[in-house]
Amino acid sequence: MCRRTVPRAFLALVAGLLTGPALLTSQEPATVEELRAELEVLRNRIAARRAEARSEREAARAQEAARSRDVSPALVGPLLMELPDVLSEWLGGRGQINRVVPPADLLLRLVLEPSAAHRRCTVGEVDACRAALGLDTEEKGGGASVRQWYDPGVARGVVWERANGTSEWDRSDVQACLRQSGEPCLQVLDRWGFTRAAPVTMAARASLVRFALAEGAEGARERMAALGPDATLHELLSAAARRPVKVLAAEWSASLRDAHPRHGGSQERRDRGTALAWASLFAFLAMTNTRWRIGR
Amino acid sequence: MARQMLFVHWKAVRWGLLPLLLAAFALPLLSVQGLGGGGSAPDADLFGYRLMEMGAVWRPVFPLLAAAVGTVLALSAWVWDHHTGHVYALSLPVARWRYASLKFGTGAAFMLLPVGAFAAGAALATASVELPAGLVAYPGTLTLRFLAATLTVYGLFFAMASGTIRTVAIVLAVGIGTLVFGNQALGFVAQFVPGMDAEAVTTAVLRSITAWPSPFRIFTGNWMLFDV
Repeated sequence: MCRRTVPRAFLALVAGLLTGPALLTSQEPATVEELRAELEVLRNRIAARRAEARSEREAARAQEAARSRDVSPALVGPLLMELPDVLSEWLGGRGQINRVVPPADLLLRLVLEPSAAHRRCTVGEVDACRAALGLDTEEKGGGASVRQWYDPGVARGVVWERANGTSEWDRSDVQACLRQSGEPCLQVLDRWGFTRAAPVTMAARASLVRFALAEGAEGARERMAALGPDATLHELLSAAARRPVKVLAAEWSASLRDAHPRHGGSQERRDRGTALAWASLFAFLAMTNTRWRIGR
Repeated sequence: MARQMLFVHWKAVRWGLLPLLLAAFALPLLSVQGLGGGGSAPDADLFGYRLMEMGAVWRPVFPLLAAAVGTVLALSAWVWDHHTGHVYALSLPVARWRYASLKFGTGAAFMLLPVGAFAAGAALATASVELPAGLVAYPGTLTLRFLAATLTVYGLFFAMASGTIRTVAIVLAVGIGTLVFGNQALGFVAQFVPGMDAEAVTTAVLRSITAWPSPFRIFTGNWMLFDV
């Protein structure tokens, strides 16, 4: 019985395979055209869905990549000894390169700075980044000016906030700043060495150097060393990253933005969808509970 | 029947919901208080970054408010049933699932009140400040997050309260007890279990609670009204 059934099934299969295409081709040409059109629509839909999924995956990957775009610890150790003087001076000391602030946090701290240059840097204005980080001067060690950072009104506010409740409050130049605003306030900030004192700037500089080394990858240290002791800050950073400082600053700023969790992004939508799914599950559990539990 | 359920739920929840309604409207406004007008203080020009500082201070309050709204709505949905020993529900010719789904629906409908108040407060707060370069307001996204968080807590407590109040009390006590004493308890246990790293266990538990796809993941995301 079994022996006779198997050949029959096999024959039916062969017959189907032979007649299938024949049946398809024997249909009216209009029907085939319609089928092809439908097939084309389906293909387009599949392609669109794939592209959508790809873009979401790429966004998630960009965020992950931004987090991981940092110099490896193995490179930092030897680098501490070989860091050019110009660079270590700009960073505020050799050990400063180890001051690692996560990119997402650094972005927020830059936004929190009263300096307009710092804030504009976070939206990708390269000139603002150069001013905020003190990359604009031609001095060997770089340097930032409070005049690039603060307009007089903001400078007055910064002086007011920093001096309030301290012995500085009674000094004549601070009082002159509070009375007149403008230049006296910038002079007070200069006296305080404010461009060096702002911690976020030093953390941002360390982040930029680490980013340059990570982007330059193999041979970054050797390329910096080959420039010799007279190299400027721009030359050193360009050599390390193998690109102009302007491009480097733009890419660094973009990497900070990529690392920050975005409102309305795919992650946000996923979180909301998950919350909705959990709420539905809880509701379902409440509805399927068959016991009324009287008197408890 | 839906109208009656709405009425009963409203009677049970109105006084509990009122302060939450006011808080939902006021909290986004409080997070920008004193920043919009500029003022005459010498540091008035610094409001751009003060905005973010204030936002960071008020940020934990938003998820707490969402949790409070969800809890009050869920517990009030079943309070009459528990008080009357389910007599009212049992006397109705209606299936349990339909009765529960009507209750869930009425609570979800009332949820729109605090969520709407929150949306209005967030929109007003956004309109009252002039944002500096680099900052963007997200009143809509934050409101959707608030709604999702409220719905999650509402669903959770609704399911628990549909059993007994005792169930809710036990689960809440265990949850709060774990949060408060869990770390010490683990440290104590680790003294007797060789090779056990209490800190690693705590970290793993916290991560599993806050990471996707945990229901509490929505509470740990970005709750900033103003962000980059």
